[in-house]
Amino acid sequence: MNAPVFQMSNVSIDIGGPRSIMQRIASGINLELHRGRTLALVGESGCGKSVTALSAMNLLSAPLRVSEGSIVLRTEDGPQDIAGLDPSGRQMRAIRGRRIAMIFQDPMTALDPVYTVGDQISEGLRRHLGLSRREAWARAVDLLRLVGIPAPEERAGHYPFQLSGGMRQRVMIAIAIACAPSVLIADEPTTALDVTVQAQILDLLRDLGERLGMATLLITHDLGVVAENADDVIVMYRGHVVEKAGVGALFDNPAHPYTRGLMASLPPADGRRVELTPIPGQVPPITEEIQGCPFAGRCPHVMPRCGERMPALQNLSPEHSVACWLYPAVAEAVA
Amino acid sequence: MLTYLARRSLLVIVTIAGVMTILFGLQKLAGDPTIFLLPPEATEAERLSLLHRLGLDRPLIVQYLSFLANAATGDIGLSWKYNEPALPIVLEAFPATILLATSALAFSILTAVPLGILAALRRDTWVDTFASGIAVIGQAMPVYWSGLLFILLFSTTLRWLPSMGGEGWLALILPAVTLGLNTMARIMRITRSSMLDVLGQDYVRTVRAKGIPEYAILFKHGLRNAAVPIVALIGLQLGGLLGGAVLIETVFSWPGVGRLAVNAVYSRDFPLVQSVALIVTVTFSLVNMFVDVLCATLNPQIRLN
Repeated sequence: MNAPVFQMSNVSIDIGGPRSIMQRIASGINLELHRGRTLALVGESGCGKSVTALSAMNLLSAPLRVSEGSIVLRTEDGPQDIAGLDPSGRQMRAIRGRRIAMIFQDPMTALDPVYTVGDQISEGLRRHLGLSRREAWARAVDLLRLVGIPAPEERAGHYPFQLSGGMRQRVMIAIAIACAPSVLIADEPTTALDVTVQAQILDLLRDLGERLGMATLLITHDLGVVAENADDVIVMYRGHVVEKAGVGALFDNPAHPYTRGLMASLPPADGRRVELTPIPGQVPPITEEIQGCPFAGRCPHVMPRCGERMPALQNLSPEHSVACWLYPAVAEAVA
Repeated sequence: MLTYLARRSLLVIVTIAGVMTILFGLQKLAGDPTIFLLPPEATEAERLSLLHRLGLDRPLIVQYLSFLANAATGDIGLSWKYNEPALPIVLEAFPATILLATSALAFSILTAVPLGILAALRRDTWVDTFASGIAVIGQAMPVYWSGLLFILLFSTTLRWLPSMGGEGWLALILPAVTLGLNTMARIMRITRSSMLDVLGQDYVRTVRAKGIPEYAILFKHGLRNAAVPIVALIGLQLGGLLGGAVLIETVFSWPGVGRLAVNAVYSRDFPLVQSVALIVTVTFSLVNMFVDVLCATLNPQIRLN
């Protein structure tokens, strides 16, 4: 496989500043994105998915910040560490929207209500590609057509409130892909949409990712979405990556008890009637100091050493790794 | 948009008719005007003749209808004190009041909006504290009191500015600032809070994710969205400014409608008081209509529905 377009290495995210207590809300995050492939980031709410996504855009705002690690973007100009750039500086702005673009969860609130969607798509085009108003508008209409909006010439002149939720999310996608970015981050892009529209939006994202050769980071809590749209998967639990695998390997052989728990709480795709097993308990709040594995309190296989130390991620096979003391590879790596 | 304007204009006419009705009622409540108009030694015959001359011996309904009909043609009758048509007297004093009110408004907008934006951007810093301090002072001090304080400081002690009106643009500064202080405080507070609200919205994050620089986010998206409540408030404040002008013009001897109104009340010159009320009502209604149209233009959701 070629070098990843985008790579986060050992990234930790802290909340709190000089005058308040610091709290680590995500640590040791490693992920790579490759051209034309989709990496899914899965986990319950509050597990650190969205802050990871925002950190990839250098969009974390105080009191959140990346405290360790590197976030490297590779372009034709060579690699660049985003984590080291001034969040509102010129260099970072030249990357946002141009090299890395993002789609947000709720299309109802993510578009500016007082500008037409054509204007909002044009804005980035004019800023990054230096297009004139007229050229940008023409591109905006093309983009609306590309994301499957009927009568795009007319729709470009519409305001967000005149469009349905699904349409608005298509507009968000048009905004994101406008400048042909190499990395697309989709933070729960279908969570706020009707079920019938969800599949259409995901198909569109997958199709565009392959066609335009974008590397996609798909953030979701929905394993069904993962199974259908991802090539690789990272499972996060309370700020830690607990399992990392190709989508096939993960679903054939889920290794971490948390991943297995997630799958057991999902109805089977073939429609069999089975008893669903929820994971007992809740994600511990970030304010709670935890020693060892954060899942220990909910884990059916908990062992004494789980409470002592958080295991590191170790390979089970070349494309499957897990952070759990159940596995000899993990235990051996420590010993 | 046209039907909206037509509906709005109709509302203006209804408002003015309502105000005129109240004015007519107030005049009736004030009792027999001949007591003030005639010397104490006047005879009953003289009194009846004056009532007849003023048309006050007719049935109430006739008086009311002819009052409304005349008002519609701009005829409020003769001022009892000056014995000339009342409306032209008011119209002559009106430009001075408009000058004062617009200067006060300009002062308050030009100081409040930048300060409000700055307070929102530098939230919880000394800038924010300073701005809210100004807002508290501006809203807590009655204009006649702050006006007197300003005269004491800038005219009497420092001798920088004249305390009396009508002597060129320098004479405008103190009354305009005094009058605009309260409005400035209100505009600043709403600018700060609506900017904070807008800048925390998801769509601002979307714009930031597009790689747009902060100044463009602030003005193109922030201020544009925050403008609707600010403009609406400015429209409402104009009523307060016209009302405040009554006090300010008295304190600063400004030759405007406000001072005219106060004097007319003292001398119980009803046609003059009514003329002032009519002019102020018409102005206020028209400005509010303009502001509503402006708000609708700023907000596509109103404009297109």
